[in-house]
Amino acid sequence: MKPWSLTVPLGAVVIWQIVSFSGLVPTNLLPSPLAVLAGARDLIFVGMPPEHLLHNHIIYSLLRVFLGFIFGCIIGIPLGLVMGWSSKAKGVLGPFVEIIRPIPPLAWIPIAILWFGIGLKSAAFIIFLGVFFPVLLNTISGVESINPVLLEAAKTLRAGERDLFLKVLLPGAIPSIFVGMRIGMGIGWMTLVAAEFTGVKEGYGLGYMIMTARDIQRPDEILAGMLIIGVIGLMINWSLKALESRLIRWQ
Amino acid sequence: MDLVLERISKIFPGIGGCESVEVLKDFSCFINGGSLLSIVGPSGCGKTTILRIIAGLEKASSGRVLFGVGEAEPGEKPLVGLVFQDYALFPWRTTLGNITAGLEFMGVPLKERLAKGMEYVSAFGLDGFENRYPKELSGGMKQRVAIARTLIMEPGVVLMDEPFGSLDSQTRNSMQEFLAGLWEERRDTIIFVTHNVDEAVFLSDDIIVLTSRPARVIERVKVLCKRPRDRTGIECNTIRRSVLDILGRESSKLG
Repeated sequence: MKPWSLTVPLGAVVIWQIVSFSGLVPTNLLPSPLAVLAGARDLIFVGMPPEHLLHNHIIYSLLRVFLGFIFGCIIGIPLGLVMGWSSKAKGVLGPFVEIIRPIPPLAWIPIAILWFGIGLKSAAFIIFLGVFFPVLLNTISGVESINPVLLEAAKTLRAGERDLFLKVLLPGAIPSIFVGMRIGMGIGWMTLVAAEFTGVKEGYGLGYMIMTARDIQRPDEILAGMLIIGVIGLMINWSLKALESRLIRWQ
Repeated sequence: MDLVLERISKIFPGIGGCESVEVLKDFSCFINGGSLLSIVGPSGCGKTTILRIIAGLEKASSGRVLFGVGEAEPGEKPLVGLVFQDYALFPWRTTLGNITAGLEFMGVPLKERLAKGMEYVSAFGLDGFENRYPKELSGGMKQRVAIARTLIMEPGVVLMDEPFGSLDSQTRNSMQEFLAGLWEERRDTIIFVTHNVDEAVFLSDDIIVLTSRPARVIERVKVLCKRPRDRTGIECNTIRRSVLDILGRESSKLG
């Protein structure tokens, strides 16, 4: 990161603090940065609702996201390899995917609650839907973008079907699969918070935390929670990028 | 391994109103085991199709490919290696990983294939580059990796489709010398497709000159100059001139 890339965010915080001091904006709508910092402190040590500490909210949210993400990848990547490889499979499954895909993951919340009840399973299911489609579509296009000469080269080197799949199609599609995983993770993270608004059985989750803060009129904690959600999302994206550049050094 | 192509025809069906294309018609040819045969001819005449049919990547519309004729046990299809013009290396594999890919596909144990792979790395002048990815290699090196990857499989027949076509002329010359040396040592059966008559004369035992589509053999020229050859020697030049004459007559027919 370049030193000047922080100038705009820092400048924004300074202006925000000045506006708060001037009293132009009521603090019950927009608390000052210092108040938000104090709110973050309360989230960490007091908890929202009290005793429900920030790190537990984070752990539960991450758990839901990773569960949905893992399932999205486990199902999306192999299916994408098959659909990219075989035009027959794509012909059969493609229309089904195209009908389901435009339904926003959040529109699944009511039926997910009906099927799985409120809790880990329904949240993970919603996130799964957010992750699955970008992973699937990018895997398909990754396979389709592989130079067919590589497949012929592998065949003349006596590669069987299994080798073609695991040692040519999969590595060849990896760069594109990662694009799908990062998009999917982004959507999953956004979806998670909304899914948690509708309630969580365990009493933990970042979305649940900021909704509770609203219920008891703590805008400082709402804003602190939002910033934390943003920072965690950023860090997840960074770690995926780091993993990506390790795995595809060849590109 | 001896190889006979018997009256091979190939017609690509027309798609969506296009006319079908007859690329090969009753094409026959033989190659003696352990010799190097070059195929030259006008571009688009079907040279690559011949290789693809021998490699089993394309089916002939009619005719047969016979391996091992005149040998003790003919019949079974041997391993046919194919070297592509654009290398076709796996970009996610290192030099060593590419060279040992075929052994890996055949289930050779890791230790054994790495040991054999390193032998080929050395023999092909790739020492120090065994852990590099293809994008980090020069064109000549990439093609050496591709040839090593094919030869490590000990194929019965090796097909090369304009392997040096995208190299600069300096590298091209040194690759020709490298291949000639390698072949003298190993005596693989090689079919070498090229546009370049100099290259064909420098490398081959036999040259077959093809007509334009559908390809037929106009003439089969024996290159008897002794190896190692002198590119600009009188012997080579004489043969070069006669091959160029044949090609010239063929292209003047086309107008």
